[in-house]
Amino acid sequence: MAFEFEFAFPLPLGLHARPAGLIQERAAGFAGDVAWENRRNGLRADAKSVLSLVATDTRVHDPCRVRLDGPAADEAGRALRSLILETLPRLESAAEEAAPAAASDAPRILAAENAAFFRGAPAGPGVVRAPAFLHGPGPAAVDGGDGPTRPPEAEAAAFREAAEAMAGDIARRRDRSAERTERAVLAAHLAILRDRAFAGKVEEIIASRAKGAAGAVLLAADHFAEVLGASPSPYLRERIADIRDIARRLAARLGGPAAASAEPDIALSGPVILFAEDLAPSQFILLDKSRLRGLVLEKAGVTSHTLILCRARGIPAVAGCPGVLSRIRPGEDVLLDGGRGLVVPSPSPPVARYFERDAAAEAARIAGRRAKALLPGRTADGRRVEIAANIGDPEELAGAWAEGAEGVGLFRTELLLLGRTSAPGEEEQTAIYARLAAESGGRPIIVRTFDIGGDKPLPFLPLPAEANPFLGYRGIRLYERYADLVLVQLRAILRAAASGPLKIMVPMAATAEEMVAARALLDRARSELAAAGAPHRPDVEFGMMVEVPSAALLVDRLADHADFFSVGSNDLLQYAFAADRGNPAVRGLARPLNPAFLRLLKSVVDAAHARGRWVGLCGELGGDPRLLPVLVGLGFDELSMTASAVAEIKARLGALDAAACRALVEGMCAAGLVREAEERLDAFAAPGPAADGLIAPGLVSLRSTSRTKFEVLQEAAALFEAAGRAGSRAEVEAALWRREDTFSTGIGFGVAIPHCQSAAVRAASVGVLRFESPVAWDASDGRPVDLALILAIPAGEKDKGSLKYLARLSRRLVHEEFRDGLRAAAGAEEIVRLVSAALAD
Amino acid sequence: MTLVAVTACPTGIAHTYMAAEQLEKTGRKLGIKIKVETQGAMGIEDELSAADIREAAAVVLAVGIPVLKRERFDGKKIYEISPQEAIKSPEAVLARIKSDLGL
Repeated sequence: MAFEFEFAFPLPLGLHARPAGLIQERAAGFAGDVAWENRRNGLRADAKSVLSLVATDTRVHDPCRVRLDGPAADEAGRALRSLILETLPRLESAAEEAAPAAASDAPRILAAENAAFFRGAPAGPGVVRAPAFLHGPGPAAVDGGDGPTRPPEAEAAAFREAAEAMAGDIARRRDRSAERTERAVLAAHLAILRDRAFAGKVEEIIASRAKGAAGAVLLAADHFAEVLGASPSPYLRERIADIRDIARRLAARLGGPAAASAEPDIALSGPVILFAEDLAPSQFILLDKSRLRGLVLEKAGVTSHTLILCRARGIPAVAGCPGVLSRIRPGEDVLLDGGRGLVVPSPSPPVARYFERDAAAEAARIAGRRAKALLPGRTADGRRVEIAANIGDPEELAGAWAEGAEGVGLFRTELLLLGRTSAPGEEEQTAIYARLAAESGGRPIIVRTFDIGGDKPLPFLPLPAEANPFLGYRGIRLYERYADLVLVQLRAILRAAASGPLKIMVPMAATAEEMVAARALLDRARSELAAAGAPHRPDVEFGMMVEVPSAALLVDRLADHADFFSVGSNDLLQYAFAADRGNPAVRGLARPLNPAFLRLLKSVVDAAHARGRWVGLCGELGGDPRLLPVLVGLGFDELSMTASAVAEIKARLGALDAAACRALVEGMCAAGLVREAEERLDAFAAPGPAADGLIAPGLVSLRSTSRTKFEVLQEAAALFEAAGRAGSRAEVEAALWRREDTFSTGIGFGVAIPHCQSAAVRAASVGVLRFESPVAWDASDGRPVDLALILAIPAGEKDKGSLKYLARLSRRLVHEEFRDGLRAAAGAEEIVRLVSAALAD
Repeated sequence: MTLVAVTACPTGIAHTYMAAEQLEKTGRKLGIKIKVETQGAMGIEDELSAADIREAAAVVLAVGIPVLKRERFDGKKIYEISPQEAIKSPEAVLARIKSDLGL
């Protein structure tokens, strides 16, 4: 029996070791063969081998075909399809994988000071200064001995035993680790170690009597390194380091001359910046991180597991910095800027001062961001919209709060079931939900009950194969038949809710009947707990997801059974248009800006509000900045999104006018074509800034200690960033310099007007700096500058309003009275008043 | 005396307008009627009309970039300076033009 399916590969980073591990795990449970074919490049793989899967160089949107041959192939095939298309995209943690932004210009001070410096790729932000600790090149590759010393059977047995023992060690270390990224990397290592193709290759070499076990392991690693090395994907090439790391350690275990080739552990002498050619992930894990101030790897790429681990720890790092090892002396004073990818040995005092100021600006930025993160989500005209995060693991909570999430709009409990052979019991679940409650800090957390079914099969939940799982037996539809499983979960949530603000939400409800039945289950869970005398909170809010059009049309009556609603936009979208989003041929039909979909959403929100119920949205649309005015205009009370989108959405929300958004949505709903709705959205812009919106006391410094043009532009960019008016200060600074390069902005009269138009600028702004001692500026009249007005304008044509204000300001600057007023002003408020008046002229 | 002028600088954000203001301000002070068109980031503003140009004794181009619609000034006496010069020493600029025109 065979089953075959085709799809476009959904993960943005391609098929790398971690998803491949999960696919392999699922494939291994199938008795027959599972073949993977990447139809873009024709590469084929045994899906029961992680290495083989990874070697197919499958990238996002690649057309792929998977074929299963064996008993019950269709059931296993559907499970695999759902894993690939539904589950894996939810597990990708984009923030931790994402390589840092491309390097911006190196600060001008380096060239001006004639400083020697090295540039690599930014691999972990932060500025540190510490002595260098050099870890020389690793031992030369050892071939692991000549021939086998024992018969092949004995060598193979030794290999299997050592691999199993090492797997046990890694698994134990993974279970002990409190660091999520570290656990994920160790799990990927485990998958390589247990890989079928890897073991097969090793045993093949042993059987050929060419090598003993240790040598065979190293040779097999060479083989896969070669396969992956041929890949155009840097991400896959960097997995070679993982394979070699494991092979060396395994060879060392197997004794023989290969023992020498295992990377030694590194003992750091004190607080240092560690320099190495490359570092195996296992070496990094064993480092004393309390002494590791920064990391520079000459050869590694930014997505190597070592650097992913380093970023997860918040340690500044630079990757791919050729020649740096031979040019730095051990113990040399080194300045490292991980955000810019810079390594500066023995920095001169002005260079050190520049970077110290930069570090201070960075600290201020983080503090400012933290302070802002605590503010509630609100539009400019005061409409409250709660900005929450979607998570699947209690460990993501701290990160979500740091980003400014005001709650969790969706906690996906089915991820607790993944990779398990039995359902977690009531105590185990209670402990997990209680952890959410304990770490909530009083913020609401919506726990969605298990969303499982034909498309998300579980080993302990035998479900029939379905021709069309997305229209099949899933979510709440299973609750009647698997009432025991759901009752355990409901009891666990009710118990945990005694210690924190948890809410319950059920998935996939399509009818009022289902909600009546779900309510009955909740009542039963409550009375069971009451009968047992177990402490719990009986009045937990009970809501439902709106994912099915029938539910969307019945919200006014469903409000009899649900305390709140949350739109699951991914499913509602595909159900509304009868278009599978995993199917590239029809995916384009399901457009969120289609007026039909907007009307559907609007009817949900209006009906919920008419019944006094709040309504949120927890699909991918919530985190899309472009759609934010639409979602605000529709009237959603809460938007829940991936945690990494929270800060940006919150900032943008503050610039929107809810009334204008409502008018926008009305216009969009009246459109017929998607394009018409899109044009209305594109034409919609937040109202231009008022004259006094361009400047604020936070953008004024009357006692600037900047001594050079370098420091002035640095300070100005940091002011804009700290005030939330610009994204990256480095980019603004670079843009100011680019303008400065064309000709000096010193306009004479002791005044300079550095200015720039940059995509990094969020809102048109004027900064004012008055200097303690005048700064040389190459002004046209040769005078040094004691006053600088810095103008920053967002890129693009849409901001003509602010250009007009800046033109006015420029005109005012040629008038002496205005300049004298700025010089005499007693405080920042007076400067703001003077500049605002000039702008309003 | 009547003059027309165009100001323009590479970014079109500041110097264009400072130069315009300085020329207008100084013209008032020296009793020279001077009409200024700006070619900045907002495009052409206060565009000079054919009549403005016809009646002007000369054209002042205080520009750091090529002027748009330069053909309008064909056949006119043109003084080309940098925007910085217009900002820094407008009186000297206008005095020089005045004497050059023999007025």
